[in-house]
Amino acid sequence: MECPMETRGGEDLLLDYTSGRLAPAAAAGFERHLEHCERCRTWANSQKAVWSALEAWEAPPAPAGFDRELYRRIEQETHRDWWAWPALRLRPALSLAVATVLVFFAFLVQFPKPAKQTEVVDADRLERALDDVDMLRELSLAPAPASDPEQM
Amino acid sequence: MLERVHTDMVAVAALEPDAELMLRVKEGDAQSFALLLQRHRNPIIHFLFRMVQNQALAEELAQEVFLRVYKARASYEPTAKFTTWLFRIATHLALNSLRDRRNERLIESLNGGAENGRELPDEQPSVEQMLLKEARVREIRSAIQKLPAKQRAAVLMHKYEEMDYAQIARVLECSESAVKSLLFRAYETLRARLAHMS
Repeated sequence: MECPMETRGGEDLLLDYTSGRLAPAAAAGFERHLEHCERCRTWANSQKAVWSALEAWEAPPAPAGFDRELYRRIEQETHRDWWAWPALRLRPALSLAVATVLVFFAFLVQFPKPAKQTEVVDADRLERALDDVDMLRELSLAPAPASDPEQM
Repeated sequence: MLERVHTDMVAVAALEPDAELMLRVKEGDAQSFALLLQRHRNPIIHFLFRMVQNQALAEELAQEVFLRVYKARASYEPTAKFTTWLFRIATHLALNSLRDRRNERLIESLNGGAENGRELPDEQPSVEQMLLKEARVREIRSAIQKLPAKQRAAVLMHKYEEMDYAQIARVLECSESAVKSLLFRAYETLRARLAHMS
């Protein structure tokens, strides 16, 4: 067996051996190698020491109220979502509506609607016009003036 | 491509009971969420405790992990192992927390020293044994704490969660060879720091 220390990827074998994850046949092969390789033996012993030292570090279990607190937070989130989501969904629509109304009013202020051109009939003017027409008619019906005798 | 993703999802769901439970959570089954919580609550708290080395903070982060899982239920797709996804969330939160200086100040104030209680006592140990064990644990904690955060996460998943290189790589979102390199360097440091304990 080639020395894993001098083989590319040999660290896998070293780590797997010291963490007890090497297949039995491969582990037996490596143990035979360890018998005559001082370097690998030193490495494996110190790694095994670290591995077992780490065992001493116990982590505390979950506290009694962990689940209760989690469900309370989930409930809170769900409730918040229930209120927040429609509001969040409506918020852009609402902004758009407000913006549209503002633009509409701004447009109205900027460009006021032109006043409708209604033809108001002025009674006095009409009467005057009719009078003028009558007067013209009378003038045209009147006999022509006599010619100047001196010119004759 | 889509067909392949779908096939992967079906395969993961078929092989993995956790993925199947999560798919039921997605459909609104609260009981399945309770089962997932029961199964993974302790491993996640342990991992986070060893990452941030503060119990109150670890519990807070663990709450956040499960809250995120619950909130993401609607978009869950079983493209990877459930634990990979779960530990990815936990690792992200832990790394962010470690990066956050405010949390580091909180750790100091909450710890009030190296230890922070709530560790399980052995069965009737002598005072000497207790002191010895405490000293050993303190050294281990200190040695782990001095590791760069990513190396620390890799060691904790390798040692305590018994994950293989491929899964650690997926959690840390890096290549398998990068994980092996991280682990090798981390154990090298730990061997130097803890050699005297053998």
